[in-house]
Amino acid sequence: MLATVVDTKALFDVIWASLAAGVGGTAAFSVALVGATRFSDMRREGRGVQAVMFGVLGVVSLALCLGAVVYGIVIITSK
Amino acid sequence: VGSDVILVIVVGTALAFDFTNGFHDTANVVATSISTRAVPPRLAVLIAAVLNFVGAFLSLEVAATIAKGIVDSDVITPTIIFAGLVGAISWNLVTWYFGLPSSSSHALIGGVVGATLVAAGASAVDGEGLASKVFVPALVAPVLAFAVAGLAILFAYRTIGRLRPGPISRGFRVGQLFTGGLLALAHGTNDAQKTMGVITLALIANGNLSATDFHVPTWVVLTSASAIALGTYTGGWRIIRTMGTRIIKMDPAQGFAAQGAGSAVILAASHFGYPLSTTHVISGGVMGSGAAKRLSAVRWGVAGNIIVAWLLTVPAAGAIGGAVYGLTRIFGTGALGPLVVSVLIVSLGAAAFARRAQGRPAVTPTEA
Repeated sequence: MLATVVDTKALFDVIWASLAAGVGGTAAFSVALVGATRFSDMRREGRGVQAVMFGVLGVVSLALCLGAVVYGIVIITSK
Repeated sequence: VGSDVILVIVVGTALAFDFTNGFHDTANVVATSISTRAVPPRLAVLIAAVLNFVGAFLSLEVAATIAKGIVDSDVITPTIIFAGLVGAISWNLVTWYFGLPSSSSHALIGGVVGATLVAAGASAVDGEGLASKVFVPALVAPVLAFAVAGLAILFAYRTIGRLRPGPISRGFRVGQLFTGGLLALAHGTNDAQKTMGVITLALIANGNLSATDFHVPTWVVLTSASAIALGTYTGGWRIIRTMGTRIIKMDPAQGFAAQGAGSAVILAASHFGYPLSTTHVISGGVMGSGAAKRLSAVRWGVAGNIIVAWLLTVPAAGAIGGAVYGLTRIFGTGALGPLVVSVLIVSLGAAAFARRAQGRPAVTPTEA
């Protein structure tokens, strides 16, 4: 009865994908903000190497987020 | 002529439902962006309206064929669809009046189920289908979004630590433009299709389209997209207030987490073909992002009212749908019943509007 009412495979797929995308996406965007803020701070303090490292961290994290948005649009359009 | 009259009434009612769907569900997309001041209110609803319009064109796969697998499709008639739509519109208006976010899709399913029960009896309704496509997802959606948004905001707070709040808040506000945009697109694609499905089915039932060569006419896509976009632009401000400020007082990070979690859950469900309500997901996300910060940050009284509205949606819309179907049958099986009910509803709406307009204070010129 329970198996016919609950599509367990689809449900578990939705749960793991939601957790990965939702938590991962917010975490990646937070890291991007940390990268951008620290890049600005380090550059102002004249710490070039650290500034570049935080800049790269910010850009890579932001690229991950933009990739997730593009993938979201692909999911919407490919239904 | 009689069947053409019913068809015109069904199309008009379906577009009216699409309009209420737009203004009722605007809150899902814009409330968090408005409350965190990521976007000014009018601009937020304009962007949502445009993206809902665009979203309606992105996919024409009418997957959301109304009540498929829940009621026996052989017994569905244009009058049942009409009664179901009236049930859904009525429930949408009641919940909008009280500022409660409830699922327009569940209201439509409830309305059609109620009308079918009265028209063809309990044997025409698949209880397992109703449980698997409505009741179980209604339980899963808010709980999952609550957990995802809660974990997401904990990660966000841990990551940003004690950095300067100014740039961080500005960054999350910019991020909300993207998460809000994704939500609006997903909403337009999902919800406008329901109306397209209803109108296309009515056209097939009336013999205007072939059942073997199933396609959605361009005018149906255009009118459905326009109705949902117009409804979205009108903006259901009462529900926007509830979602944006009455459940929790949000900071930009919480707004981003709620919208991000909402987008992730809706798109994951869409990808794996699991039917979840946008309203339930976003409400759960908002509550989760508040509760993770502090349990007492959530106004649980407001959250309780919302949950009661969710529990009542299917039975209430069903009761109205069933009553409307019963009323139409008093006038026989032709077009007279739907016509009388439509005139009655329009008259009641006009009277309510006139009464409300009379109750407003007269506008007086400002003294110089």
